[in-house]
Amino acid sequence: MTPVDKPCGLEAKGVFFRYGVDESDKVLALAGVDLEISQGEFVVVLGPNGSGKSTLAKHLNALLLPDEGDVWVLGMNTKEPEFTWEIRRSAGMVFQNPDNQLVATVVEEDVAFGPENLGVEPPEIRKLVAGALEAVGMGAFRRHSPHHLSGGQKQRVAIAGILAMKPKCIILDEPTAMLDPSGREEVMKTVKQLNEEMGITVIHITHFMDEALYADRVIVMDKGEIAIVGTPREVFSQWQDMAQLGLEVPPVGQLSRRLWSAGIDIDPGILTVDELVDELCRLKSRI
Amino acid sequence: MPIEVKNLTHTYMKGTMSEVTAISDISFKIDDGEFVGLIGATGSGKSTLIQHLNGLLKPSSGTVLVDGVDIWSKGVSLKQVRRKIGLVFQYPEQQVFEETVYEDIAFGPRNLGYSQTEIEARVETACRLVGLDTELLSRSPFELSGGQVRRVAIAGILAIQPKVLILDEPTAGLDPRGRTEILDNIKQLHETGMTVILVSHNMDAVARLCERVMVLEKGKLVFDGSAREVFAQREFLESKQLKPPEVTILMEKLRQRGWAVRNDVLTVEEAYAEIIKELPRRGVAGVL
Repeated sequence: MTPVDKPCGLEAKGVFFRYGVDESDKVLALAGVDLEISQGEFVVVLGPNGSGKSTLAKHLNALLLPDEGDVWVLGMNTKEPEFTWEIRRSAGMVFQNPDNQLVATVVEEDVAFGPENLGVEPPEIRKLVAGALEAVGMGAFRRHSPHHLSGGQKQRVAIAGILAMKPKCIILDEPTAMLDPSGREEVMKTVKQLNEEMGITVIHITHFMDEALYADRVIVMDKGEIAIVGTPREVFSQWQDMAQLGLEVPPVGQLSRRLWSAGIDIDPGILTVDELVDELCRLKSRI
Repeated sequence: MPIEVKNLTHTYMKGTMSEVTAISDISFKIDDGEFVGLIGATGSGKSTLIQHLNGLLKPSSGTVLVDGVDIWSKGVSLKQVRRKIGLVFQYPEQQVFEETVYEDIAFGPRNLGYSQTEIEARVETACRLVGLDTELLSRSPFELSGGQVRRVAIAGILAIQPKVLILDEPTAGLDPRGRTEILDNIKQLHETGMTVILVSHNMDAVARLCERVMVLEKGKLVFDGSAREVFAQREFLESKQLKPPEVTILMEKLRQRGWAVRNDVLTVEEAYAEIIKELPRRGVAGVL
């Protein structure tokens, strides 16, 4: 789906936010963030702990309101109380721990929770739930208990719960932090598919650099500000700045650059296994 | 102080409708100074297994021998066993509770009845081992960053001066810098001669650090051997919900395209060395 112009996307302008009650010990979490995200974009947010990633995410569905500046979701200013519920419906959030997000004893009841709360009619709810579970590949588990699912499956159910509310945007705050390798891949592929096939905007926060490769655009945060922005290639080509923030280029990227520095005629910006294999084979065929 | 596990089985809620066999007929021996990685999908029994190694869980059947002695036989003090085998739980910062970092790290040795001087010395050594600035000792643990609190928790176990250190997902939830720091600390602890058992979903870390890898699947030990051997078996790992490091997958794909490279590389360095010898140079190093 092609990105369309705002007001359909998300926009933050001059956003400042401080945590804390007393003026004296307030901590500046966002220090002037300007950001525009188009409908259908896949954005990955990286940055050290305390850099403001989660605070920013919470501003994008009105869980937090800016001290200064404004945030618009689909053209709705998050400061307007009348928009709060519509904003949260259109920009759903998935968190780190799957066990804290699932509330019902049967998968389909859990997914139905959102639309039920919105007052949707039962026949329509059944359609929404079935569609959402199919979209995340969990249709076969609709009558199962969420507690017996794997971590990756639980996160997919959590994502289905958001899909059932027909969102335009999904915000994921470290959804893969607690998962095993296949659970991580399962969640990332599901999210990518929703982005590509349904045009849902994705904002994915992570500490795993390899997950940045799924993004159209990567945003690197530092001390409450956006420090680096660009495609995964552009961002990881600034490896010295990234290293300063403790963020490492994924292994294949390190290898490409090593080979390039040693005088091998390849693109030092390559980040994925398949690209590097093709490039190396191309080189070899010229011998 | 070797640890030997013989035909270990653990069944939760035995005799009820919800009976679950978490680990089933596992046997292995870990010798002094080994660095073992324990990997497996969520729910494969890793946490249950390690809790048997220091007597936190009692086997439903089978035995756990520490230094040749069955830890559940009469006359064996489990307290003594836990002094020798330190276990750092997942998200250990949730168990940090004292008012100061010092008090938290001192809790273990104080409980063991050591003198004030000895406790101070142990706290200081533990801080040094995990790279924790002693200036933080007077601070509240709740003021520290995620990576720092994790190190306080590990220091608390090290202050008991165990011979064996078992860590359950020590890098979970940390940012990349915190992850690197903790893994470097663990590597250094192993280099001082400590036996280390690392439970992790971080395949790159296990590949880089551990000499020996054990793979659990549905409570069974399905592989026990060298890291090189296991990570070269991509299909086997994927069938266990696991994955080799990216550079190992890269080697496999190059081999499929006719390259004469090793299939068991584990690090970027090793992959580089294998590829470079197969390729023509572009000319002067680093210059296009």
